[in-house]
Amino acid sequence: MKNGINTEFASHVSLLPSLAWKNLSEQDRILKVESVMKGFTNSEVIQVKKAYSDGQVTISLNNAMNASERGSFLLDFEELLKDNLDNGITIWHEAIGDKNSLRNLRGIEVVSIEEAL
Amino acid sequence: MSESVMTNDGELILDSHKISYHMDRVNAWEAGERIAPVTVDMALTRACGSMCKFCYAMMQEPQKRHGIKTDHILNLLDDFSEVGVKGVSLVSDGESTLSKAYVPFIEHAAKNGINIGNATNGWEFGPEKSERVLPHMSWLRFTVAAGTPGRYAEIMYKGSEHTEVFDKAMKNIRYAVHYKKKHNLSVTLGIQMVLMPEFKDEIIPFAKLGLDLGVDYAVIKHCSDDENQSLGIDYDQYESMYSLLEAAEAMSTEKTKIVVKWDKIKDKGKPSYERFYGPAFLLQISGSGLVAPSGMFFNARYSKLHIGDFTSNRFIDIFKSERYWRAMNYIASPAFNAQTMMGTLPIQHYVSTALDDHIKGTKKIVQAQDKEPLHVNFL
Repeated sequence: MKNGINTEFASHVSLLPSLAWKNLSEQDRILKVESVMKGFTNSEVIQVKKAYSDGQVTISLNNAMNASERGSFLLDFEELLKDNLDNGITIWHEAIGDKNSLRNLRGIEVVSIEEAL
Repeated sequence: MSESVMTNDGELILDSHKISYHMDRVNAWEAGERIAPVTVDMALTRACGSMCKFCYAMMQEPQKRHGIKTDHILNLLDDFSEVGVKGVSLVSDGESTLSKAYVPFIEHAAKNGINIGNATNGWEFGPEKSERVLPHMSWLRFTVAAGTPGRYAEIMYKGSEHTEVFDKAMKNIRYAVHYKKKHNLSVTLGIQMVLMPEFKDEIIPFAKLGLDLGVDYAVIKHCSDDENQSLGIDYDQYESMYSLLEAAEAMSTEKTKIVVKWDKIKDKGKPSYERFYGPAFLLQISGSGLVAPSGMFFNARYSKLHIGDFTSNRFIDIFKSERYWRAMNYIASPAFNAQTMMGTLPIQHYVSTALDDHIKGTKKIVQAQDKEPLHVNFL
């Protein structure tokens, strides 16, 4: 049965946002994401944190979804944004730092997209 | 043909892949069938007593850690057998020897016919543990950050004065080497240095230590970093270490091979592929219980690629779920770019490169005709 992995995209160019998206201010990009979000199931659990010109949108979830729920939920949300706003949008959750107390003594923090840009 | 070194136990491939020995899965995958991973890399806990400067686990914190109990891992191994997983490496994002489930896991895997490998700091790998697990294992690799006690303690623990951790590790490694020899075990014993540019003074001492310990190999690899460079690795600096690395390799003896993972080092942190095909063949599971395609996606940042948690749901149900295949298809789609959306050179790197080249037609994977190398079920 052919329901495994689709390999036809090996040489396709990775999706990037349009010039129209890039030219918006961050505030406008966030407003657009929030506007589309209103029509999404359970949208009240999503908080939009950042929306960058390169298409990356950082969100956080207000309640703790378990691992078997949050993946599909966020992929559905990303699809909605791609369909309604820009195909180059990609969703990331806010990063969480290491909870290991010993390793934390190293002082390494997970760098956010904003810090990396 | 894959790069390899010949050890006293057989041909060892460390700087390449073994996918050409699993053409049944490659053919099924290419035909669009749902395939089981050949190998699963996982941890039994996210805890660790070390504080290695190079540790990628610092970037792998998910939303929640679930305690992994012995009955969870026995079920997991039964599910692995059911779907066709052939090898399990205990590496991933935690020190598995700390788990109470460690010995039962290895014994049960052996009973199920699953090959087992393990990477450890060796601090809790005393004689009793050695004797219980070594007869069942394919390979055991000790993380040894440096060849000298002070630098080892500085890189892996609180400071250069804490050389007791070096002494403990060396004592346990020597015992494992002794036990293997005494009982003529087939397990391959190695040590590994994760090379950050600032550790270059330890390349030659590390190679010397490998020879002194009498392990089968001592391998030096690059250090992974995430896509936002949380660890601050400057991959351009590796080039200045090439002559030192070549000198270390030249120290190889008949008993102990010094191996450099040139392929990853020379890639300078950027893969040739944009689609990420490797996880379907080499899946990773976190010591938190999280199942995600790759360890690159364990952090909460990559929540959209989180598939399930095997302490809450049976692995076989996660594997058969539509969300498993949706996540795998997402990283194989133009929505995902492996060059910009994940950390550098993951454990699936060699396999992913081979599969990408195969699909693009630039280098086809063909059935290996020669004798199987060591650890063939660890891709």
